[in-house]
Amino acid sequence: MASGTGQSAPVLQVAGVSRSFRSRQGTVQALKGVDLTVGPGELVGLLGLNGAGKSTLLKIISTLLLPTGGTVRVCGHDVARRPREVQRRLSLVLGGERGLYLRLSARDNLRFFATLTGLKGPDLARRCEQAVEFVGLGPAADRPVETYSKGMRQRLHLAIGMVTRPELLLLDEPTVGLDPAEAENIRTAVSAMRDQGTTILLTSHYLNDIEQLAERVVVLHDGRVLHDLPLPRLLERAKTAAVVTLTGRGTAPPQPPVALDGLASVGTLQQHASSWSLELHVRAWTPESLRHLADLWPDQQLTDVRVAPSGLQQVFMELADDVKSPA
Amino acid sequence: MNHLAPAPWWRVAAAAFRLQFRGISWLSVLVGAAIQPATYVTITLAANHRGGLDPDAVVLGSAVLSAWTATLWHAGMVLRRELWAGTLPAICSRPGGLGPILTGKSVASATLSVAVITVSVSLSAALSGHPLTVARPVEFTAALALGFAATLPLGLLVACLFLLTRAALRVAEALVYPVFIVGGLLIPLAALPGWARPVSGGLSLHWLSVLLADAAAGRPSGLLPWCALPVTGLLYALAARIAFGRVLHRARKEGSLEIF
Repeated sequence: MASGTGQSAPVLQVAGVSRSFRSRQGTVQALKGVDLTVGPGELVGLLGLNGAGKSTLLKIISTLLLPTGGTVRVCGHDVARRPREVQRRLSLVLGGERGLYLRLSARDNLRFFATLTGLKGPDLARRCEQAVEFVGLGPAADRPVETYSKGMRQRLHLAIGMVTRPELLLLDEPTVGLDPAEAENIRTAVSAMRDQGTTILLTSHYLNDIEQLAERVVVLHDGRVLHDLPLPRLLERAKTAAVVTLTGRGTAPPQPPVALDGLASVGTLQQHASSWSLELHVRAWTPESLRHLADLWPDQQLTDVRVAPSGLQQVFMELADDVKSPA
Repeated sequence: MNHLAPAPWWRVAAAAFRLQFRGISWLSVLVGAAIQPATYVTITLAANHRGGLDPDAVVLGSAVLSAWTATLWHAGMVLRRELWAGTLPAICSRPGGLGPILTGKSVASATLSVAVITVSVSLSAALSGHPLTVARPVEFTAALALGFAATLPLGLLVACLFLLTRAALRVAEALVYPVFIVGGLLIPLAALPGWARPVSGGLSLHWLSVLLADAAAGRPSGLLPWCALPVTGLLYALAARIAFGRVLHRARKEGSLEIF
């Protein structure tokens, strides 16, 4: 299921990687032969339900965990045999508010983590300055991190990840818990890094992140790669073309007449104070569909029809349903 | 893309040292390294108004006890503090290495505490009318430095044990006073039962207190304490290295230590 792009040597090669954990309850197989190749400059989204193996895979790539089987190479270096070489070439950015020295300033945090990767002297100072400016923390860079908002802390994580200009950047849930404005700031910064040629592997529960940023999506399920496709091709796999939300005045019809051509499924009917709404998942949506709906519901006083084309969210939910209840 | 040359261990340790100093909690230093030792000295000297104890031994004993405990606990908690802060994934996925960072941070916090304890105990003793006199300052300083260097690896060993065994923290707390007793700081070694005395030979605390007491009193210590102190330090360092390897093995290979 591996698919890389381009002719140049891949930045990341994951071949048949497995990882098991032993506990008192028995052995848990977190990864079961994962194959994945990421070419230079690619931004690949890694999707999966909780427990799919995303975090385990990121930990193996970043040398924090050893695989129990298979190999992982970063820029040609094996993570198990040459971890130092791998560490020089990648940066792991974890989401959340932890992982920083809160009593210290952003500059202090940046300088420290950059020193660990080998930056020194004037280069260290210059790159730290560039990194704080890049993520928009310049005016607050000397304040203790404990005074920062969630979004500012996340931006600092990103600055720490990029200050050494890694060849591979691993981003784990970079927008988790952020308000929409801060999440957009993070996406803008990640997008700029992608434009500068950084290879990025991104995991996120916010499918908006993946949809806006990734060119390719890898779906992990139960420790295996379920899909590895360019984003447009993954979107084509949607069983429905759109979600149509009907809104009507008054009381909802007891049995909605929804015998519509191309109808995939009917969502829950919701009754509000003086209106009702109903979601329809349709395989195809044309102007005729709208006319047909109006004919079907002549007395129900439809006040609004909203059509949302299926996105990654829809595809992901369908995939999740499929794997939860296989046919 | 440029590949940065890996930082040498001493630069990483120095960066960790600087970071620790900048993030120091002055309130905890004030309480743990200034007020607490000063209270020990002042109260013990006041209680000793009939002169049953040698005032110099009281002052020196309080200082050694405080400094040894501070060194041990600062080094011992360094790994746990990183775990609490959630910084271990970022540290361990970078080429600097965890060992130099823990060493740099332990040295920073322990050095500061020992320096503050020294000042605090000296001032308290002087204000109580029993200033500590050191007959052989060179030997005294050398013993202090050697004792510090020998105790730090014990702290790092304890730091690893704290992660490897959940109960280790409670066990260590329970062992504090038995160790003081076996080290000869609370009860003279001569008063201990015969079977307990050899145990003190394995404690850097015992040899450190012998050397400091001798240097303060102007007595020659002989070769044994001067050799035994670094040997205990080397043994602790060896054990710490093994325990550190075990921590990394359990974290990376077994995945049974959830520190990342």
